[in-house]
Amino acid sequence: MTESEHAIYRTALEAVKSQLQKLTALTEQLNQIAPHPESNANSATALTSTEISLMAGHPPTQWQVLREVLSLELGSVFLCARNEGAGKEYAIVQQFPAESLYAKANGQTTVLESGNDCIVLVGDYVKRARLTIQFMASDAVAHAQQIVWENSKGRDMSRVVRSISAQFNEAVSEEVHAGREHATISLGKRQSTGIGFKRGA
Amino acid sequence: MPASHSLPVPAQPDGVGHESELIEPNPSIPEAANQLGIDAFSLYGLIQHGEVHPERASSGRFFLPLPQIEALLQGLPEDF
Repeated sequence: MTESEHAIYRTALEAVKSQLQKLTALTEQLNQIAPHPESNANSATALTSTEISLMAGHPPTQWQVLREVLSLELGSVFLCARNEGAGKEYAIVQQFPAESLYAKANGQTTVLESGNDCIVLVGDYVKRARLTIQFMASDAVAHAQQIVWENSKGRDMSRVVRSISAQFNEAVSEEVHAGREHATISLGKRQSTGIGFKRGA
Repeated sequence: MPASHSLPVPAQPDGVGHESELIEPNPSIPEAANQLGIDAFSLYGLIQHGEVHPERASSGRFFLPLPQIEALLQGLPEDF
């Protein structure tokens, strides 16, 4: 890049830096969730619940928290379970900060998805979350691009935009990059946590 | 997402002034999330699933019109 390209690159990147960092952190969390291939609904039912429960759904019912799937800056997403007849029902439940305007208007929890197979449920949620972070990344790139154009004075700054886009593309990639410390949490293997997740290599 | 996949890069604005078509102040999605007290990830998720309808500027960036924010807060107690 030329000096002027680099100056604009720095200005634009600075404006979206926090989004890039958040997306990287979210992607790392998602990359640590990998459904164990041999797992099935039967092994999933062996999962033990934590002592934590929350009320969610319409009408509100009590769900036991099995584990936190995503830790957000403002809130969390949990895998939960409840007894349903002879079996169990699982749900992905999002919890918003109690003090937020959104929670005051809409409730502190919402059931995002539910089903009888927690492996499938978590897998589906991970796919959904990946689409969300790709959407976030695309919007952040558009913001950066807008700043680039505003500062370009008619010059071709496509290299700058491509460079920023590539950074976001890498940030939301589900591929494990060399050098990135990575641990895989698999569903279906019971561990001392009692929640049945395995931390592998 | 495959490594070869590239994020869509919005088309270059075809003129100045499109942004002004949006009612000001229309917050960006991260700004709107901040106003609502929730994570931007959560608000993007609501948009993605059709529960919130943002507007898109010619730059490709999304903004949330104030009526949309008000609609999200409809359940707020009146004495809030």
